[in-house]
Order: sequence, then structure tokens, then C-alpha cells
Amino acid sequence: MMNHSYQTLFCLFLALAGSGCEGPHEPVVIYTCKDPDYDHKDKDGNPDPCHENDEKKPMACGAACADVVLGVKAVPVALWIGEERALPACPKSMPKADFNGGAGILAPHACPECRCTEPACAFGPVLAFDNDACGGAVVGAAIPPPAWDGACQAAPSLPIPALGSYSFEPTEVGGCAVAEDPLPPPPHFGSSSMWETTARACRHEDDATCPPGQPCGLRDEELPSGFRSCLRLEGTSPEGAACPADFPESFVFYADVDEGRGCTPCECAPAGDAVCVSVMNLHQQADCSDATMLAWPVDGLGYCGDPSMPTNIQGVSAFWLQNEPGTCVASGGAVTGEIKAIEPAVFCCNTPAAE
Amino acid sequence: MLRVGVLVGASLLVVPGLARAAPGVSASPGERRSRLDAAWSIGAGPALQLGGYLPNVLSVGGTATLMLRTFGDDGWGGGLTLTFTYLRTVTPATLYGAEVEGAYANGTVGVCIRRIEPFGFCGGWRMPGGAYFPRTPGATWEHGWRTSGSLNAGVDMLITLADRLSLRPILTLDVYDWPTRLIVNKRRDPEWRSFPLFATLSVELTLDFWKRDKPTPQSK
Repeated sequence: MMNHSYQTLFCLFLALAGSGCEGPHEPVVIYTCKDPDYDHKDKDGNPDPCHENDEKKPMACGAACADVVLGVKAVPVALWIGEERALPACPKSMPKADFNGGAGILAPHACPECRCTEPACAFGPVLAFDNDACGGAVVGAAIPPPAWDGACQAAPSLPIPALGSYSFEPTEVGGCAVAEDPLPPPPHFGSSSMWETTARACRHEDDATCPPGQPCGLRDEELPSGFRSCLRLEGTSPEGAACPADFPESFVFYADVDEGRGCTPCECAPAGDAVCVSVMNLHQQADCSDATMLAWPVDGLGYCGDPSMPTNIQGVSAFWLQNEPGTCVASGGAVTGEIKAIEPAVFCCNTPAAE
Repeated sequence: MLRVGVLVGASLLVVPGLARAAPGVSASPGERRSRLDAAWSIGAGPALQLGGYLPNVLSVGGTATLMLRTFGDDGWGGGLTLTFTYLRTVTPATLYGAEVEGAYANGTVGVCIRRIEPFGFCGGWRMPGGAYFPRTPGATWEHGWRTSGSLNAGVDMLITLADRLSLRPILTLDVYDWPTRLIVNKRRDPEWRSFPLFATLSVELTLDFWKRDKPTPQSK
């Protein structure tokens, strides 16, 4: 550049003095491309400094520069496309990672299987009423402790007058609850392994962009092995992108995903096949050491017992006549929503030179 | 072309002679007034060129002129001029896909003869000059190359604005032998050649920074 400037001044001096640097019969050469390959010749041996007649088009900026106009900003990059396991680092000559992403979402998303605790037949409470047929006011109750196995327990509030009665509440099916099995954490999308095809674009340290209205690109000899010379278009959508003639092959890759997937909550409910029939024994001794004074079978419908006499019940015991809790049905755990690839990047690539 | 040069050169030699050899413009001494004998002046102003060394139709710029004028008693006058011209293209021209724009500068030596003010007829030699333009898109204008010189002829006016101040429009037509040749991307065909004729119009504001008047003959 400096030599050129000196030459220019020298020429001006000589020109004003009546001489000159180039003969008047020697034509001046101008170029349509920014960086002419001065000595390049086409296949016929004719000068082709802008690679106008080179089918391989190894030079990104050929004669098409003058007649192809990009309406958007374009960034020349070296683009690698392949599987994530083979993803290379950006080379030293182009150390700046311009883009990392991919196309085709692989990230699986399966909701965990819903599980329930085992069902179990449970005794119901015994209520004492001051009138017959389980009418009148409740005057006492024996509430079974959790997971009661029917062993004797004191029931000091169960004595009733002569008109009193006992309500044996229905047996129940306990358990059948959602197992406290925490959902696994959502998939981690920090790595690029979620893509079917992974892409990485590298560029020079400077933030050079193509001149307005012209495509440009990296020369093949600049490209690291496995990379292609491409333009990343800025400010355009994948639908509206149009690639210039020198970079005809278009690709759309995405930099990230929007994870909108979730799972419906788990629920557990008895299947309705349980048969829980108990026998409730009422005793006058709190430790049930006496003979059973009253005994009634109780099923899922309950029972109202009317002894037709005053009682002084102090203890309750029970046992299962039929202890078949049946099955528990789990529901929920279905996938909702969807995952979307976001932040698209449009690349226009030249045709790779045949090896 | 050579013949024209000889003519121009001849007129350069003849002009002072005209002043000396012309018969006296005698008038009665009482009627004579002081009149210009010689003057050095400088002038500068804008210029517009149609055609030129580049494939752009219009160029604009400016000229600056150093001029010596002399007048004889018979009313004939002559002058020598040294003019520097700078012009640059107005809009880029497209030549086989390449955009061309640029500038050029050169000097002209010339002579003007005038019988009466304000008109003069001028001829001269525009010397080869420098031209500057980008060879590649977006490059700086750093390339200079020799343009051929040209002969020119034209007409000027000296419109007196004040005692030493004049306005000097001048229209010249240049013709030259060696056209500029431009080729694109080293392709020999097609090649652009400049048309060997172009016109330049300039308007200079001229200041006589030194002048000498003929002494007025006094009646004795």
C-alpha cells in the first residue's frame, strides 16, 4: 500500500513533467472483485482474476459481486456440520465461535411412571348414639388409630343407654396413595448433544462483514479441514432468506430450544375390587379380657347395631373376616406441551470443491 | 494535430509583435485616456467537464490560472496562461460490471489573443496529468497513471467587476490522440477507450495583482 502511494506521487510528478509511468498504449486494468487473484487463469488459460469462469468457484467474491445484491447483512464464516461427537474446536486461524447449535431435536422427554402405595383394608370407627337406629345424638366414639390391626383398645366413651345404638362405619381401603417418588430433573440442554445435526461456525477475530450489497466469503485455502465457506445472514427469517448465486446451498440451524414440555400429575385410586369385611367386638372390660359382649360384621356399607339394652362398653377389638384390599390404579404422568427450536440462524454456503 | 500546435506556437510569438508593429492608434492628445499596457493576474473558480479520461459523463472541480496580459496601442492584446485543473467524477459509471469513479489533475499552458475586451480566443497544451481511481471495489484512490496530453482551443471573456477584479468564464474543447484504455478483470475484450474530445467550462474570479498602464500623452 505504501509502495503504491509513493508510486502514485511519483507518477503524478512525472506526469506533470510531461512523462509518465505507464505507456499510453498499455490499458489500465480494473476489477470487479475486492481481492483479485491476479495470476489466476480459467480452464482455457485466459486471465480470470475474479474467478468468473471457474466452475469450482473457489473464490467467494467473483464477478457475481457486481450483480448479486444481498438485502441483509452477511457475515463470512467457516461452517462445520456433523454429529456432535465429532464436533471440532474453532481453529487458531479463526478462533471466534460465531455460532453453536444444530437442527433436529433429539432430546427425549418421557414422563416418569406413576406409582402408588399398596392398598390396605382399614377398620372404620364406632359411634355411639343415644337413640335407637343410630338416631339421636352421638354420645361417644371409638376412632381406630392409624394402621390399627384390631388389637384391643380402650373405648371409655361408648356406654349407651337402653335406647342407644352403635353405628359401625364402613370399612375403607387405605393406602393407594401417590408414592413419594420425586420426578427426575428436566433434561439438561446445555450441551449440543440434543441435536440430530450439530453445527459450529467460526470466524476471524475481527467482526468483518460483507460490503453492503455484496456477498463475500472465505477462500477455500483459508478453510480448516471439514469446514465450508458460508455466509451467515443477519436480520432475516428462515422463510424469507434468499441465498446469492455464489452461495446457493442454504441451511437453518438453531442456537437453543424453548422447553415447553411437562407432565400431568400422578393420581391413585382403588380399582373397586376390594372386599374388606371386619368383625367389631365390643367389651365391657377396657382390656377386652372379658367375653365379647357385642359383635357385628362390618363391610363397605357399614352397619347400625341396636343392642336394645343399656351397655357399659369400655373396650373394642376387631379382626378381619375378609381382608382383600384389591388393586390400586395409577393415572397421570402424561407428556404435555412441546419443545421448540429457537434462535434460528440462516447460512448460505458455496458448493464444496470436488476433491 | 502537429499543425495546430505550430499555429498556436506562432501566435505566441506574434502577439508581442502585434503590439509593437501595429500602426499607432492615434487620437487627439486631449482625447486620450490611460489604458492598460500589461497585467499579471491570478484567478480561480469552479469547473465542469463533459467527457474526459474516464467513462463518466460529468466531472466537476476547479481551475486556478496565472495569467500575463499585454496590449498594444492598436487595441490588440495577448496573454499567456498557466492553468491547473482538478476534476472528479460526479457519479460512478458502470463498466462491464465494474464501477468506475475517480479524479484527475493536470496543468495547461496557453495563450489568448483579444482584439477588444471582453472576448478572447485561447489555445493551449494540456499536459499529461495524474488520474486517481480505485482499481477494486471499495479500494482507496491510490492509482495514478499517465494520461495523454491534449491540445485545446476555446473562448474566454473578461468581465470587469472592479478596478482589478474580473470574472473570466472560459469554454475549451480538448482533443487528444491517445485515449485512455480500460479493461475489466484482464479481459481483452471488451475494452473501453475514452472519446478523444471533451469540453470544459470554468468560471474564474480574476485579480490583477500587478498592472501597468500606458502613460497618457500630455499636450504641450
